Order: sequence, then C-alpha cells, then structure tokens
Amino acid sequence: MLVLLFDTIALILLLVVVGLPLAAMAMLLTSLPLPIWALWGLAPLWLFVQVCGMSVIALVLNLLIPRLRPGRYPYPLHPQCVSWLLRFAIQRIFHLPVWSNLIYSFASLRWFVLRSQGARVAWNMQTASTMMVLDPSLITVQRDSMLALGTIVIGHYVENGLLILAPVEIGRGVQLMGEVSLMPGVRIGDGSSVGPGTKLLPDVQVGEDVFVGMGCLIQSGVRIADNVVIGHRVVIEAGVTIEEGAVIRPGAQLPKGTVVAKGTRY
Amino acid sequence: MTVEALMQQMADWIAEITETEPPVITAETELVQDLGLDSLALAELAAKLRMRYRIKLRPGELQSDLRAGRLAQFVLDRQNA
Repeated sequence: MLVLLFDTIALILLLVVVGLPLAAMAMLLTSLPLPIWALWGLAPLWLFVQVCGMSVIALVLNLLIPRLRPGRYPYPLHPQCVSWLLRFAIQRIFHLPVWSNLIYSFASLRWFVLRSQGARVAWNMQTASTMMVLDPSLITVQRDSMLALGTIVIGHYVENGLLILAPVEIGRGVQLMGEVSLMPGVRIGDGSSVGPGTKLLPDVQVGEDVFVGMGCLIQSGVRIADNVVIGHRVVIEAGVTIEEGAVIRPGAQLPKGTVVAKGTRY
Repeated sequence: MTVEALMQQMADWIAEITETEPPVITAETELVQDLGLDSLALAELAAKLRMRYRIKLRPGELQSDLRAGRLAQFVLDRQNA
C-alpha cells in the first residue's frame, strides 16, 4: 500500500517537475513565428531550456520540503523519511535517461541542477556524464575536484528498519577515478586521490593528500590520516586507524581494529 | 638544503620504497622511465616530500616533469616560497 502511495506521489511530482516547463515551452513555441523544420532544428536547445525549467521547479519544491538532517530515523513513517522520499522522487526525475547525460555533460547545467536540489558543489568541479550524486542536499564537493566515469556518491542507506542519513564531503582538488563508490558519512580531505573501483563504506574518514589505489574495499568507520598511501586491492576492515604517512602494501588485508602507526609500512 | 643533497635524500627514500639498494641518480634521471617507479611509488615519494618539507604537492604536479633535478628544485622553490 505504501509503495502504491509513494508511486502516486512520485508520478504527481513527475507531472509537476516535467509537465509545467513542457507546457510553458509549448505555449512559447506555438506563439513563435517559426517553420516546423526550425523548431525541430532547435530541439536540443529546447531540451536545455526544459532542464533549466525543471531545476527551477525542483528548487521551489525543495524549499517547501523540510530540510534533511543527518541521523537515524524509523523507516518509512518518520517525518524525515517522508522528506527524504519526496526529495528522492524529485532527484530521480533528473536521472531519467532522456536528459541525465545532457545534464552532466554541461558544467553550468550540472551545477544548476545539483544546486537546485541543495547540493553544495563548486562551479568548476569536473564530472563524467555517467557519474551519479544521490541525496544532493547531503553532498558537498569543493573546487577543482574530479568525479570520473561511474562514480556514485550517496547520502543514505536503509538498515534494520532505519533510514540512515549522513553527509558526504569531498574536499578541494580530490580525484575520484572510475567506478568509485562513496557511502554516507564519508569525508575525503583536500588533494586526495581514490583509485578506480574502490569502495568507501559508511563513515570512512580520509585525510588530506591521501593516495588510495584501485580496487580497494574500505569498511565502515575506518580513519585514514594525512599523507597515507594505500596500495591496490587492499581490504581494510571496520574500525581500522591508519596514522599519518603510513604505507599499506598492495593486496594487504587489515583486520578489524588494527592501528597502523605513523610513518610505518604494513 | 641543496638540490644535490635533496636528490641524495630522494635516492634513499626510493630505496626504502622499492626495497632495493639506493639508485644512483643525477639531475637528468627520470623517475618513471629510468628508475621504474609506478604511481604508487610516486605517491609514496610525494607523501615523504610533503611531510619532510611541509609543502603542498598535488598528484598532478608530480606528473609534469619527473626528472630528479627538476623535482628537487621544485620542492626547494616551494619550500622557500
């Protein structure tokens, strides 16, 4: 029953967010003295304008919906869960294949769409057209950062009947290579680099100027200090602490609770 | 600290990183082509330079010119800036 209710609300939001700008454009186009071939020729521009119109409506709706606050909430009836569901329904509209690649192919459009949904993203960040930012109002991306092909940044998960919301912060000049996943509560400090295919699970904290190799799995709550170097295909279990300047050799497996001392090699 | 002294320091670090004998490096020694350092080894070398000399050194900056002499001069210039 709740699923049906949610789908109905999502459909109404789709009609509002997509339908209103479409209707406005239809009115505009029919009033223009242009031949039909010219209207078709300018279709990519209409798509661009349509996405801008959708962003304006998303901005208004997001201002009306209560702000998301990090925390753990009983799912799905807590007011924060309702807010999250509504915001999620709106953001899904922007991930529809019709325009999702277009949005992330233009820096201005990407910035406008993400900002309209509450994301704190820098104007000059770089992204591939296939990256995905879920829960934009919980995401911060600072200037000069790069999110490559297939990167996923997400600010929520549902576990044991609880919706967990946590901010994700990507510092200045951070490089996230292809297929990197950042889960809720992850923080990456300025100048750090994360290799292709690496997964950072909830609440992982990465310091400044850290290098993480490709194909690593870094489990919940791991603390990585500044200037750490982590080799390829490393598995770091929950609760591990790696102190400043330590080096983790490729293929290493760090069991739960390990503390790697400052400047040492593991 | 001179360029020559810093290059010697880098040679010792490279030996530690690659777990081999310290290489003989000159100003024209290219860290990737001549010494075979990979991205991981370069990241480790950059981390050591940042921590020892307390400078900002981003990954992209190390890729522009990887001759030992140029890198040493770059580090000293940045330290004095």
